[in-house]
Amino acid sequence: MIKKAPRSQLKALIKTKAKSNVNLRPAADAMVELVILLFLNGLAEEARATAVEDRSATIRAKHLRAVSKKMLKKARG
Amino acid sequence: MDTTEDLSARVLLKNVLYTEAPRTPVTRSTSQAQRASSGARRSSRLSGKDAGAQTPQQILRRSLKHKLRESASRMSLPPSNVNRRTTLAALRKSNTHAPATASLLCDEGVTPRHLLRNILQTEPESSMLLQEKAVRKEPQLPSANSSMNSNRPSTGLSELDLPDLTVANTVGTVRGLKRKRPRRSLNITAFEKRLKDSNDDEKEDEESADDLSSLSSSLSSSATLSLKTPFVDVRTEKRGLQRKIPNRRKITIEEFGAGIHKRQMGGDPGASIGMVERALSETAVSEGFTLGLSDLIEPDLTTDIVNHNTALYAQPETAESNLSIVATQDKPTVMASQLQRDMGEVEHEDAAAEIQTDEGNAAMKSQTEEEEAAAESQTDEDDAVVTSQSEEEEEAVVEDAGAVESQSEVEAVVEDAGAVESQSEEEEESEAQDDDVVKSQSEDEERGSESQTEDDDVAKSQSEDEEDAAESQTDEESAATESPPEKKEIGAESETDENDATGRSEPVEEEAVSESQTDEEDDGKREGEDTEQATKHLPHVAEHISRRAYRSVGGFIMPFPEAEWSGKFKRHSAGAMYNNLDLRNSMSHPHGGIHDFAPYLPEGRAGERPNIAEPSPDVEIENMSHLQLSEDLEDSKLLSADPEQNAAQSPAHQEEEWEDEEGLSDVSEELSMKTPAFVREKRNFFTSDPLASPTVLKNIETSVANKSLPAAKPKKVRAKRTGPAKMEPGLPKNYLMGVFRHFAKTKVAPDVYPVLKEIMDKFFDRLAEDLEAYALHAKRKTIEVEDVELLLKRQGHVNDKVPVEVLIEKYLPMEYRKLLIPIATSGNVVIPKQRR
Repeated sequence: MIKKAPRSQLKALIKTKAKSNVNLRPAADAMVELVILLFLNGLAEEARATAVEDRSATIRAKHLRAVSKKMLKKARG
Repeated sequence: MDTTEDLSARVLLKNVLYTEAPRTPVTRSTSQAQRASSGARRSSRLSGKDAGAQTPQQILRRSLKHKLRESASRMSLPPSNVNRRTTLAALRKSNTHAPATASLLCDEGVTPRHLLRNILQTEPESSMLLQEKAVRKEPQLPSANSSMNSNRPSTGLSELDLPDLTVANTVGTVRGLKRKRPRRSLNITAFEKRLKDSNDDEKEDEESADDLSSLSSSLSSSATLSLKTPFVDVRTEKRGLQRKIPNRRKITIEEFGAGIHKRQMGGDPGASIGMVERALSETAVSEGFTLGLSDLIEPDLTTDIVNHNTALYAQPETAESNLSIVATQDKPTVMASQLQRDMGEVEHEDAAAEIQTDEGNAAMKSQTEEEEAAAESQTDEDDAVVTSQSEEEEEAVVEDAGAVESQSEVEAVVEDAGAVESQSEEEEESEAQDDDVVKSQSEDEERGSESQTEDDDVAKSQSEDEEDAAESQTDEESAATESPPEKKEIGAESETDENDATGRSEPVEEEAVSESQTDEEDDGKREGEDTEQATKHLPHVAEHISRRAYRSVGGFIMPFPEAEWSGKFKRHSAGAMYNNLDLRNSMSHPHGGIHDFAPYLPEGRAGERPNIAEPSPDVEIENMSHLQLSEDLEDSKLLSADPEQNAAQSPAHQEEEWEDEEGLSDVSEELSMKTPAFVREKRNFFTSDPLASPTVLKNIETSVANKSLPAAKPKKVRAKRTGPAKMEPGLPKNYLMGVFRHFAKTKVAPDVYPVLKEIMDKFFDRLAEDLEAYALHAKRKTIEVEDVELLLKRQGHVNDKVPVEVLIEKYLPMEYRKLLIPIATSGNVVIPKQRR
């Protein structure tokens, strides 16, 4: 979006996390970025909602934490 | 809904009753109201049941109802027992209904309460009987309907629950009317009154008492737990006055000691065993109980806590009586010392074990026993209680033991004075239960020292000085920084333990102590002498360290503890330091397995930060610091068999905890690793100095530090190198926060970043896993675009309504989009090149 995810880092990250896979096509890199963005977006939305519930204009860590578990479950494939 | 289902039988009964009731003007409205209210509840079942079971049951119910009303109306006249029973039964039903249907109460002047009241007032005594009869009746009633029968007894019994309470209350009230004002709220008071009354009035009281007892029993069994406990307490208190409980405790403690002895016997063949055997033989009870002591210890301790204070004074007497048995004396002292150790957790165990073997005294054994016991009971509170208990016992035993002990006591007093202060401070801070506990702890320390001072007074003084110094330091530290109460307690406990250990094992050789401490394996072996000293020093040193660690963990004051830690070491003689370390290490050796010494201290801290709540980590941290120091000192023999068991238990727990912590706090650890790097360096510095026995170190390292050492070193390196492949750090912080802020559209506090990072890490893990799975499923070795697409679909981001391309367009920057979305350009060229 506004910033670009460091692709090299992402690639390294995926490679290290994944056990046996060898490659990651550059296009797939972009797709992964997309996935990340989508996930973050959802997270932020939910966190914002919870923060609003708390009647606080800023998103705080506790809001985020409450939301994260749910979102992680959702983003499981 | 469940309740309604459960009440189905009841509801049925009620419905039936009330369906009949409507005939009478009073009940009609209520019944109708009930029907309306319970309409939801009513199910086909109800209707069916009603239809089937009505005739015989209805008749009975009607009669009951009628009687109830009659009794209610009469009020003054005591209805016949039969009537009461029926009314009670009816009342119960109605009672059960009452909560369900408010209409009942409203409509009928004859509310269940009134009915019950009347009944109770008229014949409170027979309430129990009534209940029983009512129970019988209810089951009898549903004869026609099988389902009803099955339900009814249950309902009747369940209904009894309510009436039990009410009956009890009424009974109490009845009693109260006679003497005091009725109190429904507290059955306990009623019981108490009744009990008192029983003394005064035989007849009624007895009956009432019986009733009360039955009521209480029934109440406790059926109704509320709250009722049960207080009632029990009342009784126990009374019995406590009789001093039954303290006696029991003694036995348990002795048993505990016996159990410890048994363990010791299994671990260490030697004089201690002989002692243990004697002690065991002498205490027959202990033998029987020893096996299960470990498990029972904690509950005993906890229960003892409540009654402990009262028993404190009683125990010495009993302890003295026990003293008559020579062997037992040792045990209690050992146990006491051990219990104290428990406070300090594993560390103490090692120290105790060491102490025992070294001096070969019963006291020493007791220490190990205590340690074992301590190991078993790891809760701080329990430890406090235990230590206090053990201390008391020790005191009693020690005092009786002889002049030597008295001498040591004097010395110990000096030590303890400082320790007590520190302890008291700590304890208070750390939610110390009572002054008694503190005193007991201090006492224990004294005792512990006493038991062992026999051999070396000088050593004691040295240790005492150290301890005092350490204590003062720790006190200061504790006062300075707020650390979680648990930690403080642990610290306090550890101090007490340390004090005890110091007192006990004065001339402990460093090596022995260090060895025992550092090696997990050694735990079982511990050879007292060296370890004793080390344990002595280490405990209080460790305490200080632990305290510091706590502080550091809590406030991230790494340098502070570091300075203190290093400073303390400087103060103490090299030997003392190492001993302390060893002690600490030995004590914490169970932890040591998981955490290595110096490098792990920061780890421990890091790990702890996320899990500050756990007290064990704090201790572990201490241990780790000690471990570091004691690495060199690992030569110490360590390990009497006694601590093995305890150590095994404690380390298992601690290890588990640590492992969990480690796993969870990987990220945090990395982060924290960087900060304590210098701390680690300092520690390593110290550890290198005391290179006592390289072999021991190796052993320890291999056994304990396998994980930690290699991890510690690379972590150090990592800190400098900014990590390999940026696995953990992963995404740059700015990027993450930026994206998040953008998406959030509202302000985002910066403190969300760590949380966010953790989340993202987990997310990445899952992501990689899934992608890999998809690729493998497609028998490919590379993750393709389609894999990611599939992931998106499965995650729900891509639907029929939202094709992938749209998402791409929406989120990705241009250059990426080009990659992903083929763009047709002139010349029949498609960008990107399609591989089809």
